[in-house]
Amino acid sequence: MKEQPIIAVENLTKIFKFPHERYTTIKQHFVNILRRRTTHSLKALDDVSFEVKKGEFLGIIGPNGSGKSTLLKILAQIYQPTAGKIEINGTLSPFIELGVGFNPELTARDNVFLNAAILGLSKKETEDRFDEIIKFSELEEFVDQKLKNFSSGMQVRLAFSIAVQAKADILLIDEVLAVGDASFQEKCFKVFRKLKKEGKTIIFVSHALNTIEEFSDRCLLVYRGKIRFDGKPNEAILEYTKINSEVERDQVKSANEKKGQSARILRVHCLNSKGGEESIFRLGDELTAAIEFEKNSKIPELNFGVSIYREDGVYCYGINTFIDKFNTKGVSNRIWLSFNNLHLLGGAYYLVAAIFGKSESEVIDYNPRAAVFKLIAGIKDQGIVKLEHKWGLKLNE
Amino acid sequence: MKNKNYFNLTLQMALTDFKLKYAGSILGYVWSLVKPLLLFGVLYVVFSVFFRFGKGVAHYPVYLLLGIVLWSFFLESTMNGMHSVVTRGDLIRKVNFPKIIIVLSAVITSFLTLLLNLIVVFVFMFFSKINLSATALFLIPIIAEFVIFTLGVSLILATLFTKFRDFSHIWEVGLQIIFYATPIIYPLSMVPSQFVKIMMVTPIAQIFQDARWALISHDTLTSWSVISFPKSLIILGIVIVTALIGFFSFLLSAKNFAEEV
Repeated sequence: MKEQPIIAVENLTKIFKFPHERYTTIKQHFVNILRRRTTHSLKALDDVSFEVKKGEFLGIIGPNGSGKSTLLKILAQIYQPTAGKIEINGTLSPFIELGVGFNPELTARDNVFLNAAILGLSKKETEDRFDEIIKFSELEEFVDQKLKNFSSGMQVRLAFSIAVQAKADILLIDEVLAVGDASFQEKCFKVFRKLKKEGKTIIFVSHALNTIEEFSDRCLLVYRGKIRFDGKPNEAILEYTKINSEVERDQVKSANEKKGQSARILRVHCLNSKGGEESIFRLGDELTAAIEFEKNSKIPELNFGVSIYREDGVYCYGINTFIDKFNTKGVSNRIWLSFNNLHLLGGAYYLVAAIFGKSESEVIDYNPRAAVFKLIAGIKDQGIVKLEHKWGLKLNE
Repeated sequence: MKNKNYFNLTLQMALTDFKLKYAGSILGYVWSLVKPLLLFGVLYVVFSVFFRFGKGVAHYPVYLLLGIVLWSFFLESTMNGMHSVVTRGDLIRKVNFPKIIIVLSAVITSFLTLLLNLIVVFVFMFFSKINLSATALFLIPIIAEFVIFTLGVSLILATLFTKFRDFSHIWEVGLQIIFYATPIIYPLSMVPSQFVKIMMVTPIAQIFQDARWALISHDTLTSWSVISFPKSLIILGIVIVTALIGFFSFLLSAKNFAEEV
């Protein structure tokens, strides 16, 4: 039997309508009745569907303005959806951001009671939990101090301590751990693990990709109002970095088009010694990177660059035609670079390909993930590269 | 969230507002007593000593003070209630809860001040040697009616204010008009009789005169004696309709507050 999801979102669409000028006075309304009102609408979420199972820890990532927070606010029933429906089978913790409703003029004690009331605790429940909250926040000495005298880190600590007391099946969390020192963050993670064990469902929006990777069971990548990826966190993060590079690439391209220069890397292939396409190599194999590109004739001279990065972002090697003094005059739409003795250690790698103008700072196009390949070394050496070496006992041996 | 806990939220918000109103001042809560007394002092000197409005009215000073205290509640509640939704915009954008709590707590905050002020009225009554009769108990339903009416007006204003910021100015003028159009500073005996009937149909006049009748003197002219019985029910009708319009118009627009405010 299929388990009933705790949250089911179907074809959710949210459109924000902004009048070009916002009319908040009666006069403006009257003046503009005659004129046609132009509204500018923004599709924050576009036909989004997903389900969340009970006890799942769902991360949501995406660039700024992609619709993450709107999604969370619709789940929390703060915003009304324009179309589609949401079904929630459980109690929802009503907070989105930490410290909402905190008042700087009140003492920490008063703020705890106010904030707990916002979270839906009764006065009795707050009293019972009060000591625990203060102890967790490590602010025992400052209970009767006004909040305005607290540092932002202290405020977040207090807010988090109250927030975890919410008795709800589903917690919605938006960007919480941006503040707070390392030791308090570790404490928060402990709470997350505990909540996870208790079978609570947590939906967590963050830019802290490593936190997402560590805690979420599943990750949604939201991009331009749509769910671009739904699955394993590490794959979602990889997809996210791809989006980021696409965006950067488009920026570089449009900047160069203004200058009338255009060259674009079309494809980069990894070839083996026989000239066939290959994605798995062994230590010492020959690897040829073949770059296909297009350019317009206005560019007098081009500089081609290729770099090798390990999967985790370690820069292993980089070279370009300018450094090698390789003459690219007469190049049409293909160029190749061959490593005839690949001395990298085992792991996954990716190639970055770039086209520069006269200097390296003048980037015409670049592809940060032009190609990927795996390397099987079959040796136990450690580090990045295999260096030629031998051991000895006496130096002049 | 259970209803019980919404009750706690309402209470916490009201108490917070009440605390914050006097935060940082040396006299603190005393101000909520001193303010109406100072206003009373000014109005008393002007209207009782200079203009002699109080001639022929039994216990005019207490009569005036009670009017001012009730008026302060109406003024404060509607003003704070109107602005409350916009002021709490940050909360609305981040937490989902019944928005009516915001207006409700604003009215409750003023109600706490009203209770404190009524104590002052009782002290004055004691010094003026007014004997409390059993009719003083009528004050409870009268105040209840007043709170319901005030809440209704506040809800309507809060709804309008989220869409049109003009209402903060319109209502300021409106309050001035109501202040002079109802028997707060002057006794009804000074009003030409053809206006009395119109004046007494308004809930504010009815409530104020009833409160004076219940507490101060049974000679006070009330709506019930000016307007004959079945017609006088119109006043209660106005109160109920105001409250219902306020409640439903607020409820209808509340779901979009998060995007509008």
